[in-house]
Amino acid sequence: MLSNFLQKQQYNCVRNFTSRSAERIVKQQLQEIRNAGTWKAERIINTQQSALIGVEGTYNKVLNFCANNYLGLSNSPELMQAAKDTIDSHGLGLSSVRFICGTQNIHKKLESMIAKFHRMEDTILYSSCFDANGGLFEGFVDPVKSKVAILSDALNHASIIDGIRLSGKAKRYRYNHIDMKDLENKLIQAQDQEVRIITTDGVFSMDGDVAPIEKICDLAERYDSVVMVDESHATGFFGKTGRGASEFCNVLDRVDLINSTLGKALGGSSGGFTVGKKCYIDMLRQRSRPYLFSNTLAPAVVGASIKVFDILLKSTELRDQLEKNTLYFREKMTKAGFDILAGEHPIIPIMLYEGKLANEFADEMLKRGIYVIGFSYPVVPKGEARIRVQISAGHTKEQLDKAIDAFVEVGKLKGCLKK
Amino acid sequence: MLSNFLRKQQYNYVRNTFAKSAESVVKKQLQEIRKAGTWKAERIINTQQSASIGVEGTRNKVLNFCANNYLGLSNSPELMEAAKDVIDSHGLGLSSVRFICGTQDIHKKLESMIAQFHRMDDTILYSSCFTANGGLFEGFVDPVKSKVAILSDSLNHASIIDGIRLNKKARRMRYNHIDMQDLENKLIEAQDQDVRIITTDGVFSMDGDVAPLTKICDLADRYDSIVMVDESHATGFFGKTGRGASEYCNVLDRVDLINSTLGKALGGSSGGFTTGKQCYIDMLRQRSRPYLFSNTLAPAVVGASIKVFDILLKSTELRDKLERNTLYFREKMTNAGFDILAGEHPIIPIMLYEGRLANEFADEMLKRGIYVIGFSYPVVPKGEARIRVQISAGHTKQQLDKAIDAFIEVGISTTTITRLEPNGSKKYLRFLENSTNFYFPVSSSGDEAIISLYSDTCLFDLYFTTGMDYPTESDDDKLKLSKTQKSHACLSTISLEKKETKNNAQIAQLLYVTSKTDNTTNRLAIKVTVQQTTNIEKTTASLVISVILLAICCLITMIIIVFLSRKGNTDRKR
Repeated sequence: MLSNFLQKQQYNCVRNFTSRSAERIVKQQLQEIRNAGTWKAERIINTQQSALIGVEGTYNKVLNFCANNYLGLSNSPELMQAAKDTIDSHGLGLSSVRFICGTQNIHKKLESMIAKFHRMEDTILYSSCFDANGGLFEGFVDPVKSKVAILSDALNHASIIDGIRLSGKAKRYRYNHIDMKDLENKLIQAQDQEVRIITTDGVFSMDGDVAPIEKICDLAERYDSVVMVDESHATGFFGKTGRGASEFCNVLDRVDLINSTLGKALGGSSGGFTVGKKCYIDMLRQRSRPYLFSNTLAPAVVGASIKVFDILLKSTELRDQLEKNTLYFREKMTKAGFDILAGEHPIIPIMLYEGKLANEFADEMLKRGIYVIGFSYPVVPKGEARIRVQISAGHTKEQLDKAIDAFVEVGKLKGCLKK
Repeated sequence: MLSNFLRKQQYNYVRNTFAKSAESVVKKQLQEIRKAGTWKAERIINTQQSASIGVEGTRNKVLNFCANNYLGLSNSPELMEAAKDVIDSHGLGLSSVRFICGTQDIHKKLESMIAQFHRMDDTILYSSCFTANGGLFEGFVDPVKSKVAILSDSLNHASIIDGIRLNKKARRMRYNHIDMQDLENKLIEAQDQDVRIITTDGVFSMDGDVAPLTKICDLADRYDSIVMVDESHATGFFGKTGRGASEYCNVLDRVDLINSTLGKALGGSSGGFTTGKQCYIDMLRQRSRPYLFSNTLAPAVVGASIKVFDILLKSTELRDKLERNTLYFREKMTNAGFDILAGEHPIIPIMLYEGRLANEFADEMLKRGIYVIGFSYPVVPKGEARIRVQISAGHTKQQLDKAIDAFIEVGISTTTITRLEPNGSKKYLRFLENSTNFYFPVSSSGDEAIISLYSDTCLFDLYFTTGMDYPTESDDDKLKLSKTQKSHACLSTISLEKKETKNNAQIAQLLYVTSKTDNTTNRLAIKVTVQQTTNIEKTTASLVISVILLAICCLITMIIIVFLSRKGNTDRKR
């Protein structure tokens, strides 16, 4: 034991002595992040996710306005029960990729429900939409055998950007944010390729603005291109029956592929998927790397998600409640004099422009029992710092009023109101 | 409603008409995959994951030998209860990335337990180890500000390869599989970079071989490099206390970063992590893209994982059972005659070499109630197809015996398993039973054969004959090579030297085995390695002799010339 101890000391000494290049560099870069004021600290929540949460370090509970818990389902008793029942029936985990021994009947059932919901042919499940985006572009068409062009909106989500970066030999184009003229030019340029994919967020997560998917589909048809929409901030609650930005723009039947998540509105535990034509999904099953080399979705998540789609296929009640809440909040905040990017989505950016102000504002809001986060450079462009509010169907009118009052109070304090 | 219907038809028509480029390209490539025989079909399981599972399409349950369920925890009642309790206390999901509102107390608790288990400072959680690998290389050091070199084993997991690809500015170097000389050369080349990271699987998933981590750490110390080990096929069950290949190689305290998964041995639901020094983990929390832009780990998974680490920190019982099962299975299969890559890991590749054989073998195994999968090109190199068996602590001895018997049974019904070795020799493996006379073409003239026989159930005689025809009882050329013997130790190796025939004609040689039994069943495996050496030796020998003769001739010629010229000089002088 003594020799073990001495050996460990020796090795620690050796490791500390010789690894110091990397360690020193990392420590230096950490310091730079702190100095730049872009350090992200984590607050620890000691309750379930809900409209009202307990945060370590604050005495009372606070109202949560920065979760993707759009339908308030993250602690739904019904879904929790479904998850527990599925653990009992199908076990804790599968310890396998899909094609070896990781497919249970519930996976196939969920895939068919998601396809049915989106009026598509088939679905492929992933552990997150981040993985779904990561696996799509390289898996979709073999870029060694066919020439592929990927046209991506400049403000697409990080996971789409990473997915495109993994696509190897594909030709990559970036078009200016929702600029259809630029997209058209790039489509014309890409005509020498065999396959073109236009990829866009359905709803952009920082501004809450909706992609002009109808125009994108028009262009796609004119220039022979596949359209892929990431509906992570839309599935379940946006559009007339919650079928996403594609439904909102009336083009659900013209979009070829939809990627979305089960980890936001639809329960929030984990999971993602790609849904589309059968041949596309078949191809992804054969070639998508996260699908082939990563664990299958856990039974509990699948069971809860089946329940969610059960609910969504039957009623739009939650989605309607969210819409009401959203309209109410937007109206009140605009009247109060805040600068809000116009729109209909539950993502509501309260523009404060200056980074330091955004952070201080958020701190003041927390003191008043409202949990919000300030976003500044580099997450959003310089000079466009904001507090991004996310409304939930789980928020009551009183809770919305409390938030609005707090905003007004702090707004007056900081001199941010328009009047 | 009619207008909606008509519009939908119109749009479907439009979409079908206009999108047909991509669709036809995809359909064509699907067809190519089918033709190449590499199509992956999914079997649907209708029970919990366990040693014994129900598969749709088979009436009875089958024994599962291809899950990463190494400790048998995927349906552990204890873990399932823990998951359900945490759903009740902490909810279904968090719908948030970690740094916004996605961190609960249980996440911090799990991170600290994982760090404690690995004797590291801190841990960062991800939704899978695939994601952990994806986020590490770009997040670790800002490649714009510092020059980074990443040195990666050529057989590393796909997720590591993808993670490295996401770091465009880093200098990427690949070293030959577990080749320390090549790694050293690449480390020397990379000395102009600010930071070097060596990354390797702890245990490689296709062969079950272990990375030489001691030597890697030595090199890392000498050349100032970080060592990152992916312990996905090791955490929880490999190494003396299940702390992974790093522990197995005695370098747990010298490795800088460990990536691993909660989705294999540790419950199998989902989740992954990176554990290491505090400053490295802090950096990943600030920069790792999957961590910043993807959902936090679900409470149920966190709760079950906390329970797992509770169990692992207290006892090595499961890990010990797995080790016993592994040793037992390896020993029995080796003694039965199968070609198994040597090792101690529960990943046991049963080599069949030919892709179609591997698939057919797996199908036959399923008929006998054993669920295994054949792996062939491109997952493994051409000519190295196999059935990859994965042992679990959940397997009982009876279940292991059932599998072994099924393997032997299918082996008997299979035609000869053939392998072309890299050095040009051929290896044949054949399973026989019940007094079979098996005729085996050994070679053409000049070959050498090494024969190994495996049996613990029967007596056998081994004969060798020359001639094209099958020998008869009265065949004078019949040469009995071995005495009738019964081998309990299951292995006899006989080296056979070919004798040249009188007329040097190329004739086929036949080897045949006949087994007698005093039992009702008997099994015998015969392995023959045929090596063609003589021709090459002869050629080499004749070449060498020619060169020597030529040298001697030149020398003699030179001596004569010198002698003659001296004689001429002497004559002139006179």
